[in-house]
Amino acid sequence: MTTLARSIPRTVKEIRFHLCQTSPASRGVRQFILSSYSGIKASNPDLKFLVREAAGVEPKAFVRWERGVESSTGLSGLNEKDVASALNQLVNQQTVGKA
Amino acid sequence: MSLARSALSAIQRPLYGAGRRTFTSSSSRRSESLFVHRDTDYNNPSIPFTFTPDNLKRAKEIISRYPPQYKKAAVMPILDLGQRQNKGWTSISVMNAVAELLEMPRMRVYEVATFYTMYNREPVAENFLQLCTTTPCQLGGCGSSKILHTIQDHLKISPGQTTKDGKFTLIEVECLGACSNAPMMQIGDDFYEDLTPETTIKLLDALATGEKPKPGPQTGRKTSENAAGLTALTSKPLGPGEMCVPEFA
Amino acid sequence: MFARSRFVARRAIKFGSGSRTLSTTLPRRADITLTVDGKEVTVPQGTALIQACEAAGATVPRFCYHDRLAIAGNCRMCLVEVERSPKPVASCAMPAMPGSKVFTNTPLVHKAREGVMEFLLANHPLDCAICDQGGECDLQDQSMRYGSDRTRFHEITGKRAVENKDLGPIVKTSMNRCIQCTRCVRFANDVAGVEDLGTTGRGNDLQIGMYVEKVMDSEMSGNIIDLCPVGALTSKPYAFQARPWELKKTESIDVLDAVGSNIRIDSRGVQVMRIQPKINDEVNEEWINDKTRYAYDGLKYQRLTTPLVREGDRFVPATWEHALETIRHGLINSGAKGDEIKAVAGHLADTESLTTLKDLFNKLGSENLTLDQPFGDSPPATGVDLRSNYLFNTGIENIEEADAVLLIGTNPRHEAAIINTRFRKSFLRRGANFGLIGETFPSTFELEHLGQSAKDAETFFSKPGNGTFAKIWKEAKKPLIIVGSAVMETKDGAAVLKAVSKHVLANQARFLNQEWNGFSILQRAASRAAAYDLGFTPSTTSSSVKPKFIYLLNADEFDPTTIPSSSFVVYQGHHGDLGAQYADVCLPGSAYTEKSTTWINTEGRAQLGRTAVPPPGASREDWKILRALSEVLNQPLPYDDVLALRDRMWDISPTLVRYDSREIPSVELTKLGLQVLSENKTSQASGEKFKKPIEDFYRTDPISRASVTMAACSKAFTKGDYVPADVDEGATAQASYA
Repeated sequence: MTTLARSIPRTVKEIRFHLCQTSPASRGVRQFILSSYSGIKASNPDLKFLVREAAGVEPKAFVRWERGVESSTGLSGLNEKDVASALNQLVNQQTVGKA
Repeated sequence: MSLARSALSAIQRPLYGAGRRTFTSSSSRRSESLFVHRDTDYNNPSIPFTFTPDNLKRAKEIISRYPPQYKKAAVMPILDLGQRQNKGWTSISVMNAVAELLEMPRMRVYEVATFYTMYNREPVAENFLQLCTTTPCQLGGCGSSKILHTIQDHLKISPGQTTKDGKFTLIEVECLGACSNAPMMQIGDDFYEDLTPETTIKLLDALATGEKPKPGPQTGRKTSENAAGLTALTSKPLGPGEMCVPEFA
Repeated sequence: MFARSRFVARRAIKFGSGSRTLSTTLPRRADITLTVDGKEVTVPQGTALIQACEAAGATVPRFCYHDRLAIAGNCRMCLVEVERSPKPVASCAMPAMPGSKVFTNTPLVHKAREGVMEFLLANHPLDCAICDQGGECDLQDQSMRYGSDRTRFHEITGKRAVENKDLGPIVKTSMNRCIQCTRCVRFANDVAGVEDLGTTGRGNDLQIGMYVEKVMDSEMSGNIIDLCPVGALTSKPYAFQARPWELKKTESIDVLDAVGSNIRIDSRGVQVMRIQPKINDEVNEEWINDKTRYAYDGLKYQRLTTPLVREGDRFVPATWEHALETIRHGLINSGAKGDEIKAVAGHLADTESLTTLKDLFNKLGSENLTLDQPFGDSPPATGVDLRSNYLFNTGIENIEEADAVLLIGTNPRHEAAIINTRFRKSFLRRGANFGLIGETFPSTFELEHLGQSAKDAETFFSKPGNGTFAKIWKEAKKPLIIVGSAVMETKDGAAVLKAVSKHVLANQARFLNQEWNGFSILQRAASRAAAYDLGFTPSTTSSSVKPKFIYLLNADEFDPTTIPSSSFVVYQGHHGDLGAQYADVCLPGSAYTEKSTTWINTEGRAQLGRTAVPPPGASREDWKILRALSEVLNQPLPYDDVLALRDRMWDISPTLVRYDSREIPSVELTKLGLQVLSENKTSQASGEKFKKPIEDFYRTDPISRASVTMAACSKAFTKGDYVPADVDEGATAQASYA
């Protein structure tokens, strides 16, 4: 997790997570947030890390770069490690768009 | 029909003769007293009223008769206490003081004070003449109407008014429950019964000089006993052990 | 919401020492079955017979009974026939008995209703032509339906007349029409907490009033106008303006505080004639506060109707093209880059325009999105990452379950009057206890004043002591902490949150479980929850940058010293208030009655307001202005209609478009949020006293500041300077504000 925390480039302005409060598909995302939140915020104090829960939504991560450009990826059914790697891929990818 | 018309014309105000045209031809019927408070210089919330230490002691004793979380149950006796301390009438300051003492909203005290007629919300004189004018008193003795006229002629006031020297206030009240001693009136807390025009005038004169005449029947009889002497129950009542079967003797 | 039967003891409340309900047991919930008009119906035990009849589909007329008030039983209109009862029974006062047979349509019932109607109409003046309630009058409707068709009234002395009472600049009284149902008295006592209304006299002389000349000093006083079934209590600002059949009714949301009360906007043509409450049991039940109800006349004055461009020290009306081009030139000429482009969002900014503004500014390279509150230039102390940190997590309807409530730095009576009525309800019915740390205010429930400053808050949590409230707090099963938004606008915000979150985490079992969340933040601005949900907050470095281009979106509460004189300022809003004074270009937007937009209330519940009247002049909907601006600035946004915009809002946070339901954050993430708050590095709390954020309840935003009614209310209630008008003055005493 700490590698992810330190590897977030400064051009990433905001990371958003959508997840469901109860469904099992969101469990990985939830574990990820619970374990990595403080680490990521400590290394990147200016990064907005929004967590938005709503019943029945598909878990997703969004990343917003400079100039309002956004990318997203689905995290449904992934476990915590896979969530971390998906996020890592998202923030470090060279081309933008939906993954 | 003619009866109704004559009744109607009897009630109509004599404004027709004065050349004025009214919208309505019915008269108005006003209520007995005012049920809102208007500030005057003798009755307004800035006039202070506090219970005397003696009355506070009495108040505490009264409050202790009720459950502790229902202090407001004591509102009626405490209002009466306040009225007595305040020269026989319940001003707005008395009501506010009662509300504060019993920790209840003021409006609840106002509601109680306006509901009951014996809480006088206007000042009354030292001698508060409450004349009973209901049917039993109208029929008994010489009739309460005669007494009423006597008082009106003697004091020059009509019911609801106070004399100029501030010594008497006269009101007509409902039956006071002393029907066998009709006609009667209540002055303050005392009943003065078996009135005749002469005894009434004697009574009023005595009160005007500051004396306190003896309450009860003014004709000399004892409560409502037969004035000519008892016709029954003339012997001493039987006491314990008298006229009993031997076991209880 | 079941009416309590008269056998459950009611409150014995008075100001002063605490004494509460004689019994706090809730009615048993076992179901009983009875027959109404031949139909079987099952209701919980303890419901009134009238509710059982309604549940069976039989309409029972009534005047004095109201679901949310105590039972009076004095109008006698709800009489129904019950088998084996010698007399008809007042169904509102009689609890439903199992196995009883109830008839609501028999000749006996008809006769009873006709009789009651006859008595009520006997002393009721023939005012329908001049009475405001005509058209929506319970007496009219029920006499047409249930009364007899002819009168037997031939009294020589005429009808009873009662004096009108002057209750203030809001409620117009015409007490001749009063039928003494006492709904207003029960409302004032139980819900509003103003124990000044009562019944004086008795019998035919019974009058409803204050007894003394007093105004009804409550922020909920307008609701008695809705409650009064006849035209005795009517609305003074609305008097003689319109009849109900002329009005178009639009359901919408109130934005003058953060509760998000559901309202119904009654409009005639292009003018809003009045605002009525709409029932929503989860938010505002059936009440709205006076500001919500009467500030609508501010929508007519001081409006921005055309784009204005500043030339020298004057504003010159311009076309939209010219204004937008001026903004573009202003942006280029100011040389603003990145965080030098600053946005300030105000209390009345809707969610769609906040989204559009954020997207536009992000495209321009700026993260400097601020709010117009003290310390609004820095990220909020609550953070915006985890929703539970800035929302009213308990839920407004669940407030009634709390048994101990701690208020920190908030005056709920002014900041969220509806929530205050819930407090009063729980105070009366459950004997809840309240403690306050902050500035005292005249409250409608008993509270213990525990302190004044952030330091006192810290002390209360670390060393509570042995006061009454402290002891109850230790044992409370459902404790509730409410931190007011004003606390976060002081330098002690983070410290207070640290202390609170530590305490909540230490007592997790009681505060945070599946059925109860006892940690809530009370917002007071309608746009804040939306702004936080969107992430509309500045970064930590933004406040150090001197802004060169400032965009004020409905912002009128900012500190003018934060606007450098060399910067280019654009104001987008609907009233010419503080923001427009500092602007170089004014763009006219729409007010909340003129646009169909999303509003997020303090609980995080998304609600949709609807357009009732068209915006005046050349004004446009706010998000559309920003979309047009984005074209002019060469940064076109990817949405062209409101549905595409709402898809974008979904992408930011699905909670923004899940209308009418509250997305409750999960317990684990709530705990994470609290952990974050408890670990923040902040200095010790200072002893500076909390100040009430709202000095004058009636003048808190541009609409209420422009309103004549609110000015009169402010004069009467906040300043206490009300001169009762002479009743005979006629026109000036009534209907003067329209």
